Amino acid sequence: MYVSPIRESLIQGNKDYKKITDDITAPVSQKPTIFWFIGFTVSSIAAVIGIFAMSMTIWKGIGLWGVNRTIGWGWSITNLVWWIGIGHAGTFISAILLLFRQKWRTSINRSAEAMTIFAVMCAGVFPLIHMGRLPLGYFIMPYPNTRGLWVNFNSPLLWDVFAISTYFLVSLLFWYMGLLPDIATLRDKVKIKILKPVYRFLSFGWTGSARHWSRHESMSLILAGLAAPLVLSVHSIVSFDFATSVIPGWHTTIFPPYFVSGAVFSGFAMVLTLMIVARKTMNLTEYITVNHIESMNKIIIATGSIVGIAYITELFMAWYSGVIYERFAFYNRALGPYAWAYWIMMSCNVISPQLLWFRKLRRSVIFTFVLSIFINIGMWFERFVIVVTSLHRDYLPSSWSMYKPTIFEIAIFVGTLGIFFSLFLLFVRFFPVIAISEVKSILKSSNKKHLDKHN
Amino acid sequence: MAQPKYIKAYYDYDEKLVGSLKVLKEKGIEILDVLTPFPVHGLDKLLGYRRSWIARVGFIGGAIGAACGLGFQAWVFVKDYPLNIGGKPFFSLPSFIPVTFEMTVLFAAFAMVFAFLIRSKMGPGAHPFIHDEKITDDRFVVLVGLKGNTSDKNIEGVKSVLNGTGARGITLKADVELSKNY
Amino acid sequence: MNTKFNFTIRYKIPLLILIVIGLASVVASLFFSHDHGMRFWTNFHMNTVYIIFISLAGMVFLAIHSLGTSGWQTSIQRIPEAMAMFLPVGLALMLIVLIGMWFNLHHIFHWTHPEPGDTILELKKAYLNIPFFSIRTLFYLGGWIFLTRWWRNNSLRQDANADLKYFRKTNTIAGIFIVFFAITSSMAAWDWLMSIDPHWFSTLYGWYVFSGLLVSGTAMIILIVLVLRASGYMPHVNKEHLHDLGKYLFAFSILWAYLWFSQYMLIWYGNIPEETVYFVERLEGFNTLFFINVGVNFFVPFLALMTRNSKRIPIVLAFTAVVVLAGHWIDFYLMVMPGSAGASSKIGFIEIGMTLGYLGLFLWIVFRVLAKANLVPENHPFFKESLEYHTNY
Repeated sequence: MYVSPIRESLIQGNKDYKKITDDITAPVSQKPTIFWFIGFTVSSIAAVIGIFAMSMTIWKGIGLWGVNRTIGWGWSITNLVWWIGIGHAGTFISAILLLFRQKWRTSINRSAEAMTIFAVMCAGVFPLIHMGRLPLGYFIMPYPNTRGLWVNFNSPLLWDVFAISTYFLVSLLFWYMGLLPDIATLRDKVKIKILKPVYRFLSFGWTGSARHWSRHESMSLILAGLAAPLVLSVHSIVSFDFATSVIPGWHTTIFPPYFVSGAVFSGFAMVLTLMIVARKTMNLTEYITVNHIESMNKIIIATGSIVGIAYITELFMAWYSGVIYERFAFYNRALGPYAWAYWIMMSCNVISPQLLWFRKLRRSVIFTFVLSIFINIGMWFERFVIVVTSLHRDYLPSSWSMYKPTIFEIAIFVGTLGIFFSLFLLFVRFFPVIAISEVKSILKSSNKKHLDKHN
Repeated sequence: MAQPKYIKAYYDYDEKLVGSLKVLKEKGIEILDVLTPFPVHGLDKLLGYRRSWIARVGFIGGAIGAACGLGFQAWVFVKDYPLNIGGKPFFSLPSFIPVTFEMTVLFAAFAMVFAFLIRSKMGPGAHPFIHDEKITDDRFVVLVGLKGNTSDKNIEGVKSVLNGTGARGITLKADVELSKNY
Repeated sequence: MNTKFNFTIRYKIPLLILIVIGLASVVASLFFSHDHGMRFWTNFHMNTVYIIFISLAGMVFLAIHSLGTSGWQTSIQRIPEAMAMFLPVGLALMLIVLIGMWFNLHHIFHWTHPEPGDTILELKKAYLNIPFFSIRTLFYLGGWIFLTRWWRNNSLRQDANADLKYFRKTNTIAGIFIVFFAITSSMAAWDWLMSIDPHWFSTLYGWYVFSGLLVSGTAMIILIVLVLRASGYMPHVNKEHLHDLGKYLFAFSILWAYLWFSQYMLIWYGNIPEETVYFVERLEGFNTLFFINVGVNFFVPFLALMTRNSKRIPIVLAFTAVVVLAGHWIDFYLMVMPGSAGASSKIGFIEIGMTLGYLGLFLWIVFRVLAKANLVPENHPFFKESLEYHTNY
């Protein structure tokens, strides 16, 4: 198919199929770099700290946390929403960008999908441990029992159970099915004796037969078609946890699409954080190019602007409604005791991404890296502001209180960061970070040398 | 029992592959399989593959999921153990939608993945015959059949056609029973 | 490739018939109305807002594709461009509504004459008052007209001169437009539609209306493309282009249904009377239409356009597009009528006639604009991609 010569190339340098295989499987065949070891050590330590804090919580109870009347949800639910939000970028890149035929997704989709799975795992920690009596955690599943009891299908917390489980399983399927041809590449390429049988087992017998490819393509397209509404539904259902209530700042109809946009926003920021480091340390800058970074930045500015407009809409509607409780909820956010959190949120989420209107900044790797960190901090504060400020002061002034996290809540959050980065580092060590077969399929239409030959 | 003979050859580029396959088809040569490092555009049509029925499996799976999800919630809340939650009716359809939707997606996805793996005879521990370790690297392999005619004349004829299309590594093989159904 | 559209008698006659039907309906509505011309005014306002949004959707389509550096739509982009050129007529129609407000000719908006002691409207007075409302309306339409004009002029200049600077300009214009649009479209929805029920509010409303705009706009683009194609005008538009348009219709319909559900379910679940009154009014007084609205606008496009093949068959696309346009007209009916005309509203020949008149007027303007320039932007750097358009999936 004809490709306009003014399009930016997505694969740079003098590449052929063999070179692609070699470049991307190199980190698996070789020993990891010093950066990898340092990163893995630091994140493992953090993970251990977190696991210790989680164990203490389960052993001694939620009293170790700072949550109390009337702020029953604090850091734990903030973290839950933050992690699930981050996971959304993976599915967005794999599914929605596939449906929009955006070829630039092929360099980042594999890592983004892996990131999704690890993010959802970290997210899942919080609903489990915040329950209190974790050994009875299976109560959230509908199973026939001697009490004749079922779960409450009218509760958004239960909808969450189904949504997050489905999201985790479908993302896992999507990631793994896409990975099969690439594991086969590792199976055939890697010479390390101990790994070869592992890859052979994991490759499920992939041969590269045209019949298999044909079915694989059909399946991937439909999985994408399923995953796209799934992405919208999961974070919408998470938003229902708040929006189905009656308290000001929570009960508002804009939450579902606003949460979804925010999720894609923070997810892409995390993908950028990871990919900017990975491309440099793993010598993949010719595959994860500045053009990829610019495309991701465009999505960041789009979703960031949507989030900003949602903030302004909420503010306006709070005034327009005339409801004194709504008006106060937003007045309190901007000027009350948690105003510092509100203004961090506003500057990180609304103001900073607007700088991406400038092409020079969109294509600056360093600026993008710094911005991606700010966005993730800002999005954490957004969830903190939503969760805590609405709970700490709602209808009855006599119930107003304050919330402060304890060292255990902070440690658990740091622990999930440790778990996330450890898992991701293990992923890049043993699996191809870039979708090898997909990148090969776009070589002819996305690489300057090949395009010139063709045109 | 002797395995039936077939000829294996490979190409370096997908354009060469597609062009050559057209020639082979014109000459009436039987193509048993084509193995590539990535899905080559136009191969399906050329080889006469009909569009996969995997979509239908997905649809049926999803329909079952939807029916199960909605049916189960309705049964629990209307028949088995009705509960008054916030004054909402027992059959509260808006509440049932999220779980129903998730079940639809879950069942559809699993149905399709299982259909794919089973139909392709893939799965943990599957041990297919690997025709060439470089298929997953940069080789486009074609397996050509001899239609039962294993005379030297026929074999040479087929080999020369392959040679003419620019194929490399043309060898006669008989090491595995090539199942038609995979 | 020089293809020009000829706005011949063959096109003009049916459109003129529609316009005449519309005018007749307008006159009839003034005579057959017992309630200070409410029947005329509410239908006039509803159709005006609907057609303005469909027209605007053309520009939204162009802007989003430009910012996404998409190429396939360049073959058909003159059609949404022409749709957007209807906006000045939309402004003229909206002016009539404004004049009606200033001279107290209609009571579409109850906040124009609040009852004494209505504290809720008191609290909104700074926003909901006739002068500010009028300034805002003019601001939205003025801005949209300015930006669409700018785009169109740039696009025409590109026809004459293949210099890449015109292409780069499109991204600038698209960026400015999309930000201006994002803010003003929600505000327009609040002003022109939500304030008809002035005691009610919903933060999702602006985006909900936006999704309807996307669906209706896409349906209109599809219909015009198919009409031109059937007359032999756009031979380069192949199954791939149609497939992509069909995918949009499918996806945007699902998006609309998702937002409809979000708004409804959250208000139903919270069960707060000042919010639920909106739906109670509709469920009690407009019950059939309420369910037709969500049923038709979700199930028809979902079932009709689910399979791959269906999106490549023109008759299926055309049928679905027509159903969707009618369905979203019902959506607008449910947004406008209950809070204004209330129980006295009905759907009769007058309503259908007026809508047909608007359709005729809209298409007249669109075809006139189409005839003024080349049907394809052949100097667009992505045009060749769209001409030889075929995809892997």
